[in-house]
Amino acid sequence: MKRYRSFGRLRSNRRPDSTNSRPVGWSMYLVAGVLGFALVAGRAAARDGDLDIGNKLADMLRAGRNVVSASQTLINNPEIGDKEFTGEKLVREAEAIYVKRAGSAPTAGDLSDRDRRLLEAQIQAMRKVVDEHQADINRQGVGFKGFIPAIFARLVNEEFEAIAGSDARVRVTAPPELVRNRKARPDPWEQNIFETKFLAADWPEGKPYSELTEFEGKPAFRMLLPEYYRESCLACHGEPKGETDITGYPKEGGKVGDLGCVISIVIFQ
Amino acid sequence: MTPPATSLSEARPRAETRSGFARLGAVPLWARLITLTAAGLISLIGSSMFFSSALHQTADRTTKMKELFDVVGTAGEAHVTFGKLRYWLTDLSVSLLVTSERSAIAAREKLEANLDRLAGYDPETVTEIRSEVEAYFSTAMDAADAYTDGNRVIGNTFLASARGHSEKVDDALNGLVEKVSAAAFAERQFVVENADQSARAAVYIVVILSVIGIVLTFLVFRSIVHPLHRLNDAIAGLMQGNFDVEIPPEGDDEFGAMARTLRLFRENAAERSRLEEESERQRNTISTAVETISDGFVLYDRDARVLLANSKYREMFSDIASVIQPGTSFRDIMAAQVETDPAIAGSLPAEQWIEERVARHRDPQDTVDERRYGDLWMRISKRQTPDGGKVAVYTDITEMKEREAEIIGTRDAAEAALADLQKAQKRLVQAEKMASLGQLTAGIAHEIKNPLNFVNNFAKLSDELLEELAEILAEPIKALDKDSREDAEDLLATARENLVKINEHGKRADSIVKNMLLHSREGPSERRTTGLNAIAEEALNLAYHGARAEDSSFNIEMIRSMAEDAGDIECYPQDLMRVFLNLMSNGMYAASKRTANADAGYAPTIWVTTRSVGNGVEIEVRDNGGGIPPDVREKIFLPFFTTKPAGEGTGLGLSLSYDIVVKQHGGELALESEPGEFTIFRVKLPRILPPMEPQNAPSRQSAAEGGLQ
Repeated sequence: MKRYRSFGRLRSNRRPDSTNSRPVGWSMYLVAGVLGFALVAGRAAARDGDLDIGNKLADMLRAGRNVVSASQTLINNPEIGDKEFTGEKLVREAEAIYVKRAGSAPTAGDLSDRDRRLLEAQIQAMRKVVDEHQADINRQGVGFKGFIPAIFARLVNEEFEAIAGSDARVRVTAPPELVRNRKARPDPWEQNIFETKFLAADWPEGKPYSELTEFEGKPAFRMLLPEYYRESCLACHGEPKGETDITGYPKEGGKVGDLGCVISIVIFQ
Repeated sequence: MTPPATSLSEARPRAETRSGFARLGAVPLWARLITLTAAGLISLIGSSMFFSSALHQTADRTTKMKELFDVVGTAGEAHVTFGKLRYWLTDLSVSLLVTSERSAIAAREKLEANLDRLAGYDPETVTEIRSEVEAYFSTAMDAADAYTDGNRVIGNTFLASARGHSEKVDDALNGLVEKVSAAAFAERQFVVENADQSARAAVYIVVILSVIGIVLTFLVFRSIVHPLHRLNDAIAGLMQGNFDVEIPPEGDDEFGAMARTLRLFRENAAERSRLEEESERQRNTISTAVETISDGFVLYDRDARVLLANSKYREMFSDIASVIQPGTSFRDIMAAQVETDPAIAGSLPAEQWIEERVARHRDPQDTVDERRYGDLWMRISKRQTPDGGKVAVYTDITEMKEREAEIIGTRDAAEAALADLQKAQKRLVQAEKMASLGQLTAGIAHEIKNPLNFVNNFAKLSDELLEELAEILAEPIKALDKDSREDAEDLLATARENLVKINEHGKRADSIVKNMLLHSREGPSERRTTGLNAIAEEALNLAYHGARAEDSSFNIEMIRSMAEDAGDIECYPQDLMRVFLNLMSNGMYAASKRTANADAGYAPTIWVTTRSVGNGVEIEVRDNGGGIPPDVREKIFLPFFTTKPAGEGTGLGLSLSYDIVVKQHGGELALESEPGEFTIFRVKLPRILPPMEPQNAPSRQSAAEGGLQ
């Protein structure tokens, strides 16, 4: 099930495996952060720390998804019983991918307590989700098990909320016509950013959006990272529109480079 | 054929008794036909209106029925759609998938559309259903939202509440479907029965209208056909000349008018028939008279076309009898005649002959011609009739002509015989003169022969004496002086030359005298074996000198071709000489005759050829004179036949020659000639004479006498 491997990656081969953890990526986000500051001028100063932890959480989530995507063949093999695809293994491989992309582990270096807590909570959530689903993953006689990167990400985000929901939230959402599960529906703030920023013709490709605002009545740093369809995404989300994919869901008719989803991060202040 | 009085008296009462038809008969034909057509049209329009109204009624009810079935369909569809709505809302609560939500919304929209259509039929029920659907949908969505937010207990509560609304909607839709179905089926039943009724009524109407139509048509048809048949019978009868035929009664309608016209026609036709019979009788009388004439009779009209011709005329010209018909032109008859017998045109071309005959026919004067048609002679008398036509009478005068020809023939024969006799007499006189001349010549020749012998002998002797004298005087002469000696020698020589000339000419004179004797000798000549070439040569010389004797300017080229092997033959040389002389003299005569009026390049020539042929010999005498025409060739060997002017020939030469060659020598005498080119006489003789009775060896006289017989 390799097609899920790259779910949520920035689109196109022009930027192969480009991640936010690269130095170039970092500097770009720095610029984006300044821009974001300009956009919310006067309300609150953008914080490098918030931007930093947001990117890290997003990158780690992507790394986890990558591991699940790369393991689809194993997971969906009906012959093998115990696949030894444990939470620990997933976390290890995800961190390895993260290190390869960013140059260092997510938790390495100077981190604030909050940031370390949030990253550890995310890693814990990943481990827990995989471990809780061992029975499903190891089920013999069933091929496609539905334990795909998107589901994995949603379950991890839900678990993350359960562990650290008072400090931060991570979700994967999308414009309403692309949302498959009601739980991923955008809230009005997100919907507004989609319409006015990401779907605008002049929005630079891949550029995140961040803003100091409120969430559930509390001041919060909110950050949206757009992700675009790659070739491997189109097996389920491509054309012809309306044809059912392997999960039984009708395809969206997307093309390479179209906006596919958005990682939405909330850091409470 | 019934007598007219009876048929008419029967016809009238019958017309009166048929009261029904009489009444119809009083109505004009056009009125009858218009009534019939109008009745047809009215029934057509009436039935069409009935069918149209029945069809409209059925169509209205069918439309209503169709609408009801549409409502049934829509109600059924609404029921099914509501089923889908329930399914997707239930699925949404479990899966939380947006696609299920979208399907549920789509199902609801479709259901609303169905309800919109049903609202027209049963608004109350539809309003009730709408409110229940709304309640169900909103409660189910509340349940889905609760599940999405993870509030399972509240979600279950909402879902239970939604289930109550769902059942209400289901019941209401079921009831609606049943109600509408019942109404639709009832409507269908009504439509079917209604259509059946209309069809039955249509059948009755068509049957009734058909019966009325057939009866009406039959009545009108009969009122037309019946009188028409009677009129037709009457006309047919009249056409056949039956004037007693029954004519239908003269009613008030068109047929009555036709019957009236027919009666008038019958009266006219009867009168005309009577006049025609009278005319026919007169024509027959004339025809019989013309037929009884023993001559051929033809009457032509002013355009020269045959009006009338009797059978005698056709009999006379039986070859073209088929052409001789009234209407045939005189020109066509002439053309047929000349085609059947081209000889009648004589030397004229057929077209010209026809033109002449036509022109002659047009001659307004009375003409009488006598013409020959094959074996028949006709006298044709033509007279012009007052109207410009011509009467021609052909009388057979063949017998008369034959008798006339016989008389003329007899007369001509007598005249010819007389002429022949006169000619023969002249020739006999001439022959006698010639015979006398011959005897005279023989006598003279005999008398001359003796002195001539003296002249010859003494001339020869004198020559010998002069020779001796010359020997004797030789010496004395030498003693003389030169002049005297020359004179003496000259005198001696000249005297001897003169003597030689005397001897020479004496011999020539002797030869001529011998020939004269030979030519005029009488009695049978002696039989000897002689060279043919010698006889031929001598004959040629004699013929040449003879011709020269008669005309000193005469000259001819003589080409001899004497074969060495011709050799000797046993013959009567003198008679044979006479034959050759005769043939050669004739050849020279012909050549000289042609010279007189020939062009400059002409050279009179005679060829004499001898050759040995098998057991005999052949001598050919050819000249390039005028030739002998075929008609002359036939008669050339007859005695007394000559083409020479009187006094020049006896007409006996060739006759005699023929007798000598054929009868005396058992040979052949043949003639070949091309007029204007040449003539060849060819004599064939056996080398040994055939045995012959002495009396058969003819003399000149006997041959001449034989020729006369």
